Amino acid sequence: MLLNRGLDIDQLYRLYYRPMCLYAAHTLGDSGDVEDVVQDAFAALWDRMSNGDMPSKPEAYLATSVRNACIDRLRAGAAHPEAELTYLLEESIPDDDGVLEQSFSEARMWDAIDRLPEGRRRMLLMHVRDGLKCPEIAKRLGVSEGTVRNQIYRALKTLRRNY
Amino acid sequence: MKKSFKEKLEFVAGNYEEGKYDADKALNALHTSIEQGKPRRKWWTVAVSATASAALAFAAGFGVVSIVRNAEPARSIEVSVQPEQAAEAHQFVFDNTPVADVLRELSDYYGCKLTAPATRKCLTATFNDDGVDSIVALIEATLGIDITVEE
Repeated sequence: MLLNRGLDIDQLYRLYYRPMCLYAAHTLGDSGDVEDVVQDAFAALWDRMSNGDMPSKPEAYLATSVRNACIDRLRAGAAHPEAELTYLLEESIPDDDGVLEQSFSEARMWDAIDRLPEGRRRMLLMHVRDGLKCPEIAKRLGVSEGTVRNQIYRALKTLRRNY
Repeated sequence: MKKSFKEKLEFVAGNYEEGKYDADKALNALHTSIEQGKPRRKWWTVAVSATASAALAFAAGFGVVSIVRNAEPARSIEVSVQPEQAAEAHQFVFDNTPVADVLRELSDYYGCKLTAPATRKCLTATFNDDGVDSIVALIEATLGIDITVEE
């Protein structure tokens, strides 16, 4: 289905799905709720498109839907006495365009990580995500420390281009 | 306030998993829903590469949804509550249970050691006793985590 800007639902997904997921993740953290929330927003958009009621700004529509759904999740989580309260308080929900724009930048960074050679990506993640130092990474992977440093350096250089 | 490169990288890397937040996968789930009728709101088909025959109920955040098994290797399965207990078989019932607790219960029952990287994910599901491998495969596919099984 084509939209008034010539974008179909497939293109909207490819443009906005991951940025919206990261936008939601800023509020909900790394939880299974993130993709549910974002898929729901896209489903709502699809419903409107199907009825010929296309939002003039799909990006803003999706962002608002996602944000509102995050608020609902926070409220639901707070009401559940046994819920693991890992979510931010409602007052802390990002509500400015800066966070949304940042999410697009983060999505580009994510794509860049996807495109890294597998070994380089693995070393980068072991270093940045897992907090391992180069000697430990080298030991675990059975390579030299020089190789680890070089690969991480190259990974960071690539990612900076997308920042 | 604009984030530094380091802050952004830490956030992205902290959330990063290969194939996670994938637009094509999500789009396929939507198309599947459309092919089966009007796309549903408030719950989602759980895209799994299911090979197991276990009956599952997943709460996709909003509640339990109904299961449809596709003819092809099931790319998406909607799941419905099975209110009746399986006659004599053991059932595992998890309600917003942290993954670590899920694995502990399965480990105790099957007499093996199940481990996974630290995660804050929780599971709401009901499994019949169809074997540890089947159940593990479904949990892995649904939650996007890797589980190690040691005898």
